Amino acid sequence: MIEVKNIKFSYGRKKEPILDNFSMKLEQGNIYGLLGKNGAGKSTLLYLMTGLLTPKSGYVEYLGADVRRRLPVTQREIFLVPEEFELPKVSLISFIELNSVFYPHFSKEDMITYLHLFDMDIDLNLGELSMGQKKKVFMSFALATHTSLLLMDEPTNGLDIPGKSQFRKFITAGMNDKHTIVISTHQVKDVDKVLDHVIIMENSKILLNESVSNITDRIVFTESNEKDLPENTIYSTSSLKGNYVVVPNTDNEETDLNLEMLFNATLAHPDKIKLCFAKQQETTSKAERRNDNDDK
Amino acid sequence: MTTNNFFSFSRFSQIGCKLIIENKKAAIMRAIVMFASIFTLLCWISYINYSSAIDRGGFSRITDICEGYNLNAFLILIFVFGIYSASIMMEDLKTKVGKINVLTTPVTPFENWFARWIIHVILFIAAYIISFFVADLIRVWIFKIAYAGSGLTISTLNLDYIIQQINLITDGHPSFIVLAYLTVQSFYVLGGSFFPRHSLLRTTIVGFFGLLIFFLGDYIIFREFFKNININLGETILRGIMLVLIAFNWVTSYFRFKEMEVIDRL
Repeated sequence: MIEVKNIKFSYGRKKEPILDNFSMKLEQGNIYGLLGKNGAGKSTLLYLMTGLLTPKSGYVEYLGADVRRRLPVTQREIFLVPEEFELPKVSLISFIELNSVFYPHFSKEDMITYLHLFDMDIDLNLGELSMGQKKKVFMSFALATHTSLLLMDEPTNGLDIPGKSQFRKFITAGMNDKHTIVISTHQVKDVDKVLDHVIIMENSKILLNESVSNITDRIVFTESNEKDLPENTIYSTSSLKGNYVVVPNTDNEETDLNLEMLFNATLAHPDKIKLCFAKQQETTSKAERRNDNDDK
Repeated sequence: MTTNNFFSFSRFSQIGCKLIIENKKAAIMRAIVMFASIFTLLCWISYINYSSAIDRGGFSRITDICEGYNLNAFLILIFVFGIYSASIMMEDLKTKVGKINVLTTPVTPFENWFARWIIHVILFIAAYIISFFVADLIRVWIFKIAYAGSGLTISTLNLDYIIQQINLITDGHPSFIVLAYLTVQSFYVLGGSFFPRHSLLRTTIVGFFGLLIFFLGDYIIFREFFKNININLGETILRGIMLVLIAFNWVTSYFRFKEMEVIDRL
């Protein structure tokens, strides 16, 4: 799929690099949540992945080509929904006619379906819409292009309250095994139910890159009303009832992913979080080695 | 769909349509302003000349006494509006949001740049000529009614007269004026790719200092160098320099557009 290879990037020759020797690989068929503090380089990474920025060294490869070359053959398979965007003051039908021709897999029927999920219709004039409505239209168009890679930067910013829950339905409606969606956001509560993979980055490093099922297999997110925290607590924060606690999942408990807690725990104690998955990786690699030996 | 990664006619026509239709309101407004400016200037020239000719008595009854002034207006205004048209060629790249929109469209940089060039250089000339001759035609209708029975000859600027006068001005080398126009305009095409924001002002300032350096160099070096060269050879060299400049400006503008990023590195 898309591979970021040893990227180094800074906004100016004398400035500190935002990303330094940064590598990452995204697989097809996943919805990735890209999380990080302000200035961690999330938007920069999305721009690099769409060829909008030139890295000092390294490159981003997609469908066998360097994305920075901005070849139509790769660009028609990547769609970026930036945090801020502008739409021309034309009718939506005209916008679709003018822009869909660049995307060979675009489906007008799907576009109408996605607009309906946001309680909108195709018979609109883009010049008369509010920013939130424009966002809904643009995201519907983005998903209807059926590009194999869809990158979204803060997609729920500017959406109204029903819009945020509609967004979750919208994303799951447009997802299939051939697509990859990357959602970069701070609004973790808006997206935690739709993600199936979480990437947390800071200081040019990926602190966590795990599937949601792996995370919930390895970590428990719970609320405790006891005064004393469990011994193996990775991270805790006070709540109305007592404490929200993040602990290793030693008893195969089933809990929902709490993205906010996971994010805070990962930033506060990256080593402890890494340890939770290291054990698993060790087990997995041992099993793989055993399988290899059996094959031989 | 073709996988040609440099030029595909279908993608080129698609991006051309997108650029024209998505910006049609602004383009129509600009065309109206251009038409109104031409019309106002032509009417003002006519009014001043016809009224003073009637007051003075004795005027030509064979040709329109405004012909010469109208030709000057035609030449000056094509430079003014041509420069403006070139300076807005990269207008939609002046913001980060606009850059994202332009640079993520799945066409090659050449198709995108060439479509803009066709609109702002070639289509502009067609729009200008149509606007000028329609404005001139309306002027003739109005002034024929206003000065009916005065004996004045009021006629539109005709093509033969334009060619004849341009030949006269350029000493039999009309291509000189075309090259001069394209040279100046190509500087603004280049300027637009370096300064998408306030392109007209910034390019004019840079052009002013460039001209200053050129005339200084011309005075010190070229005058001495070309002292003994005959005028025909001198004109040929000048035409050659202009051709090279036009090509250089257009090609550099394209490469600058191709290398453009979402941030300004200048």
